[in-house]
Amino acid sequence: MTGFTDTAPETGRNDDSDDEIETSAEPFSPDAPWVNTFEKQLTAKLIDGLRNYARPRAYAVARAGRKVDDYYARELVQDAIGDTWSGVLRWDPQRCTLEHHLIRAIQSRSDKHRKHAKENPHDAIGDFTGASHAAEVSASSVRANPEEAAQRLYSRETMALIRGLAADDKQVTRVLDAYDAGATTKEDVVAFAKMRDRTYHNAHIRLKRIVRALTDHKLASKGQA
Amino acid sequence: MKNTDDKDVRTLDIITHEVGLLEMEDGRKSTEDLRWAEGVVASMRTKIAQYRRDNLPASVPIKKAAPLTARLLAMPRAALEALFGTLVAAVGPEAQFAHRNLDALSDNDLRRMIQTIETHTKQG
Repeated sequence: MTGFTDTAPETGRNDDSDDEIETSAEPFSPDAPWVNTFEKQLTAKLIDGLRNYARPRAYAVARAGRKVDDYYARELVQDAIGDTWSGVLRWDPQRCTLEHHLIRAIQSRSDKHRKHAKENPHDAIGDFTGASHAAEVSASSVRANPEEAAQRLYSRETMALIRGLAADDKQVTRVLDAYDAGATTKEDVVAFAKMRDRTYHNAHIRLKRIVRALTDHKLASKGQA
Repeated sequence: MKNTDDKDVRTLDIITHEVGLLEMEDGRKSTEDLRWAEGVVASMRTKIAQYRRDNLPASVPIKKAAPLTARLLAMPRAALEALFGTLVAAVGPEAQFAHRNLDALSDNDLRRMIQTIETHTKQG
């Protein structure tokens, strides 16, 4: 497990409140060692892996109401690479690998896009559930920050969906409970759920299948469903 | 209610990240996806090559070789070849020279090579 969730800053490029990773007004002129390291670490295998990383993140963005498809995952990857090369996103090869840096960038940007998917008003997706209704009531009661309220609403519905699909899988449910209880790292989850490493790993593989199936469906429908 | 919703936001963020990392290790790969990834690499390599070209100095000053020393100019071919042999033995197997066939090397070329070796090894 990594600490990405704790440290990732906001880096959505296309939003009004840009908050990139270590941006600088100075023009970016990487030196030869930087360019050599960037070139060496930027492989087709890494890029395809990042595309796979970006898909579940795209799913959360799609669930928040933004119309995205599989090309959105590619755009997240391509933009993070292009902006690293141009210096919009600052990468220090002495501090982390290019892979780690790009994961952080994609994580932050997708998070920001999810939070600001305000142009697409909430639609109950034709699956009126208790969770959905409760979330609607909750959201409407929060007047101070409607964007935040909508975000909670979408997240609540999405988690209800995932939990529903995992309802028969005790181990996956325990993992989700651990996250709900505040766990972040693998060690936290293992300690909370009192499970072995192997059980933890297998539960995540099954959770991956659930999220992958939902992602496939959502991105194939271009965010319309 | 608010606390539950906050948990959902957080949990969704964590699981899409963790599942993403698993997908990165063991995700689906199609020929089209791989072609796209290779295209991105090729495009970036083109940019990198252009950047390197743009950062080459406009003109590289040609450094003029120092004149041959009077000592080397006074040496006949046999003495030069003997000196060269001594220098090669002194420098050891790490030394590399552009010219090996001394029969095809002019006397002044040999003098130039000896002077270069002596300059680099601070001899002579």
